[in-house]
Amino acid sequence: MSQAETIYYFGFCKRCGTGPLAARVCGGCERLWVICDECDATWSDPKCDGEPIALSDPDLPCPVCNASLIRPPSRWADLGDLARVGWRENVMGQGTPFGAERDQIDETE
Amino acid sequence: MDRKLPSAANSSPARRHFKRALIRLGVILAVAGYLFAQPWLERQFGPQLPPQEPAGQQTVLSGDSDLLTEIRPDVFRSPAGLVYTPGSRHGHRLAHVMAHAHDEPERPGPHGVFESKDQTQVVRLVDEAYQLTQQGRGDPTGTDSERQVWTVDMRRDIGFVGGQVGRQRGHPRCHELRIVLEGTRVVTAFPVD
Repeated sequence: MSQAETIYYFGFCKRCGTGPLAARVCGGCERLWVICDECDATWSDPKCDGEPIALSDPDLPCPVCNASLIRPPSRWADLGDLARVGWRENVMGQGTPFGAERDQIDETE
Repeated sequence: MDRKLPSAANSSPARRHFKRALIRLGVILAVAGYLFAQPWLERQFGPQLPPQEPAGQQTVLSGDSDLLTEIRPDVFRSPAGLVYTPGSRHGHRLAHVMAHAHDEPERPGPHGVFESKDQTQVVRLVDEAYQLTQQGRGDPTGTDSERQVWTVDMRRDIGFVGGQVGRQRGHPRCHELRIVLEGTRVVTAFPVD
């Protein structure tokens, strides 16, 4: 059984209005991308200025190396990752990502 | 004078006719027996036996929904023309939408939860909201060059606010549906207040 994931969010998405914005670590190049946990809108930093970067389904390929930002080994950034790129001070709060609580319930049933 | 005995040539058409009738009856009985026994056979032997459906484009019993038509492998279209494709960390946009049928109390922000957990009803609701946007109803909030975001007042209770914010605010009820589309492709849809 996987550990409960935690996301550290910087705010909420201006496109869909509700999705928490948190950083994903690319499994290919280890760059961090800010992604909306609801509509997958993507930005290159926590300021989320301008329009989101257009990434395609189903894999949301990294704009730099094309690795999937959704599938492992890509993962949500932890506090160490955020500190590494100087984003830790942008964190507003934390919680579980979309689907993580249902995954836990399904695993225990 | 000897009576002529019936020749083999005279009796064989009757026999052939009788044989064909027997074969037809046998086929009918076999098909009827298969349909009757299918549930029992599946319970006994496990594998899904093929249902009696026409080939080509099928109406997919995708989970609980019989509204969706599979237009390409793993790509489904609703009656209103909305398309659900693979995508999101849930694996499929349909699963992503249906994940809003359950509260996630530890999810940051206002996590909209559908009142109904039935996929058919949720698909119908999203279709209804989409059709209202086509009639000029709905507020195009958050639309950018890539995707369109609509907030539609459904004029009835469709769910509640869950997640961390919902928990703090006592789970207010929702009358509006927000849909995020890329053309007719559904990215997500969820209740908002």
